[in-house]
Amino acid sequence: MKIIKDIVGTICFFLVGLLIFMGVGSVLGTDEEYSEMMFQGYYAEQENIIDAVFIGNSHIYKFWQPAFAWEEYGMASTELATSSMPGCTMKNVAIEALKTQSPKVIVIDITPFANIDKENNKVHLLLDNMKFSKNRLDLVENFCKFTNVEGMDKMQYYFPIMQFHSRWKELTNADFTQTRPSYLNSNYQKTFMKKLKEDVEHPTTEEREKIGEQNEAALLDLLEWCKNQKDVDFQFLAVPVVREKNLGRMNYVGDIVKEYGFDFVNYNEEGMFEIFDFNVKKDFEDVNHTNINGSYKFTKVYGEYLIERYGLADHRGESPYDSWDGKAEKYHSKIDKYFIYAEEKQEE
Amino acid sequence: MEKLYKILEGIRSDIDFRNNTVKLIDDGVLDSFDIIAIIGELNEAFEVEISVEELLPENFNSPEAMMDLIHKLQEEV
Amino acid sequence: MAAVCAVYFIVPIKCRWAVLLAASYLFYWWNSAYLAFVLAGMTAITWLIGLWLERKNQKSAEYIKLHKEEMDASARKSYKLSVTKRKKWILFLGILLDLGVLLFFKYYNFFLENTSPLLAYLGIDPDAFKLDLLLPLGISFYTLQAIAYMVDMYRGKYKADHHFFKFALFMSFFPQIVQGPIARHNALAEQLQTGHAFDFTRLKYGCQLILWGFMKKLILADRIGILSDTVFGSYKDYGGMVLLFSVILYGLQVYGDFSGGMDIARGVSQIFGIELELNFRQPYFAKSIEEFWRRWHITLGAWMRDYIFYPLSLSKRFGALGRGARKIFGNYIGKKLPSFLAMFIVYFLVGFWHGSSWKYVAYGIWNGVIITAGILLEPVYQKGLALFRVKEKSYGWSLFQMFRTFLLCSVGRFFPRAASCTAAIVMMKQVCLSPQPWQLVDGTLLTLGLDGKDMAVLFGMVVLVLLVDIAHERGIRIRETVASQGLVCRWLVYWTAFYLIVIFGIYGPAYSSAAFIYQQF
Repeated sequence: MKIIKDIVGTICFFLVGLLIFMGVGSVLGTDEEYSEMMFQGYYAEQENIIDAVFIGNSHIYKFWQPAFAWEEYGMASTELATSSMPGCTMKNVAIEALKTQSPKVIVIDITPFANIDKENNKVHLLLDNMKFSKNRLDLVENFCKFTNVEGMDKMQYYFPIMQFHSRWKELTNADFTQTRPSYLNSNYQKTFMKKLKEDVEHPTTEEREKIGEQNEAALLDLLEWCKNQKDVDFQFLAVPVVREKNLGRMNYVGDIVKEYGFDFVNYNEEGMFEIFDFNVKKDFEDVNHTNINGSYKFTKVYGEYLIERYGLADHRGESPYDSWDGKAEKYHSKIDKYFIYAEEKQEE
Repeated sequence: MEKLYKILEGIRSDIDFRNNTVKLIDDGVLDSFDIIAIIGELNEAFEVEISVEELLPENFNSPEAMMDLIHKLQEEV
Repeated sequence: MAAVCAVYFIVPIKCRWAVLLAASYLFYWWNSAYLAFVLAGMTAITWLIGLWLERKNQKSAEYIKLHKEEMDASARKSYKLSVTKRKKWILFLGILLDLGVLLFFKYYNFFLENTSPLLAYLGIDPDAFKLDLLLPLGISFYTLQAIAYMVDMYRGKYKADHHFFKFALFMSFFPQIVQGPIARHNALAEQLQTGHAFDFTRLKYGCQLILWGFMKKLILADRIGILSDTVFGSYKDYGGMVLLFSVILYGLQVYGDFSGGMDIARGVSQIFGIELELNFRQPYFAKSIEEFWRRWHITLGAWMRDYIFYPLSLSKRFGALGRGARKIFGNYIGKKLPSFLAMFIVYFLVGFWHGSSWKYVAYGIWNGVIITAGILLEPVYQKGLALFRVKEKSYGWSLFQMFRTFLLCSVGRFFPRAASCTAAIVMMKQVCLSPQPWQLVDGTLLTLGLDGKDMAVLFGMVVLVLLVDIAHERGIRIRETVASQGLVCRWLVYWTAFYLIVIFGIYGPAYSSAAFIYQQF
């Protein structure tokens, strides 16, 4: 009897500790709200109603706006994108996506592989907002493998609190409030409303530039995994930018992707950029990202292409999507002040 | 016994050895300097030779124990 | 650790000691690989010498018994003397071997450096003989354990350990091998060798002690570590008062680190049902430096007392010295001189034992000088007390004594903390000649690596440690007191402790939001 009581007591004791741990973790975790909102939005979504999932870094969330795609085409899309998402984690992000949704297509941003400036720290934006599961542990393992993190240094990724506990000094009220899920995982950060204010020519190149051994290994790992997925298509995407820096490497990645027989759409190729009819001064936030205005144009063009390519349905008026109109409206209440094509859109 | 009390009081006048109830060593009443001084005096006064082997707390915890030790050593010779 | 614990309680009680031995050697191997052979070798030497000495003891006892009638007192005495002489040689051999290993690993380069002018004179290049030696983990501690064991065998205090592997466990027990406590065979071996049944209360108490140890280490000691690294790294930039402030904190750092480490070691042992000796008894409540050393690192002090101080001061030569001195200096000093001399040797050794550098020797001598001064000044203090009508037992006077001891003790720590002896002396000079007290209030303190919030946490932790020490001093057993509270209170205490460590501990890669400022990618 005594033993049973002790065991039950111990289990309860550790459960209480775990609860506190989750509380402490969420208060001390990264104070970068948008990634948290993104994952909250994803986990809150009803199961198996999404047709297209977008995975990648800021080249996804600053270009593709699910809210626009919904309004324009009744397209059911969402995204799982965090700043500087490392390429070697994308396989696990895709696995996470497939846990609750059964999309027709997963769009994979290739810039994580084309980018060779590594910011290991930012993996926390992704990691810390993911629900705890075996997949999350696999993600850490993969990340460490492809970034040469070894031994005890791995611990800080398995237990993010090791890194974040020193944040106790800079806690503000915002850390104690629950983050709301974002509206249809569409972006409305402050910087996203800025304008570039100068005209930049779109560069283009036919060059091929190496992406580094680790990036390449991670890319092959991802492609191998994709090959084995039977019920979902993959499209690899390079979004249009007006900066030359990664273009050669994007071409290189594209070659490998195509070799594997996957779709690759590169909007930086000769003649592709023009189809968006961008006004670079007004539609770009900086040389590497569109702003709210550009993202509207991008979503419109690319959405149309996706619908045609994969035969995606118009879900407007269907019952699982009852709340979507409301969410899109709320999204507009956040952005319309800055959105110069709002009227144009209305007129349509 | 009286001789022993005299010696002890000569070294630590602040302790009442006659009505002692605490353990002198284990309770930290006497420190190692006191012990060395006491042994020096005892060796002279009782013509014994207390060696390191006898330096156990139980031999010095009370005046009675010290007396026993002295008797034991005196018999051995 | 959890695995060792699980295995320990799964295997039959009779073999549980073997689990500890395996864990100990695994731990040692993991830390320093081939140096485990050094430990094993020393274990073998010590074990053999122990057996040899015991045999001699037994043989001589038997001989005397057998020839009781034929021998008169003087014959018995001379026989005993001859046996003792032989035993002395055996003991000497044992100590020479064990100590030789320690000296070689720890002090070889030190000796080389300090004899380099001589070597150069002889035409030998000292650098050519310099060895890049890795110090075997915990060698300073287990050498002392080995020597104590052999001396005890020589003195015939208790029976030798006949089982080699069980003896090896005594020498290598993993919780205590890194920093002690320095154990005695008669107190520890028995506990290690008999298996212990699982006990839930003990497990809980052990874990609590470990938690407390980590609190002291990670929240207190490692936090101060940041400050002391800054200050003592460039001590010339700071005024005397800042240096004094830092060295006082450094004293607390060492306390938190060392006593925290002890609590962890004791907590781990407790889970296995093994009670290690107490190594700290609220040292900063000592009223004199001498008392301080009886409360600080108790097992080292006890070792020095039993194996250096007593044998030295009771030896014939010291006795003769005392008698000689009494004729010259009179009774008071004459009586004390041999003890003082022995004490100086002890503190010299304590200092030297801490590390192979002159600064540690200076640290030892500093302590010796203060104690001597304290004892010699005792009559002066008494007079002073009488003059100002201060009651010796009064609270204020005790407090003053504690503060005085704490201060003297802290100042002494300039030696071990400084990069060199000279640096320490420069800092001490600075304290006296250029105190620049305004640096204590003009915000300089917040530029030493700890900001205001860190300082607040530090202060809170110091207060907590102080309260716990006061409670211990008054004989309150904290874990028992907590255990007798209601469930909510108990769990609150445990989890608070845990999360204080998790949040306020200094560990892991430091993070600040600045590194995360949203970048354009």
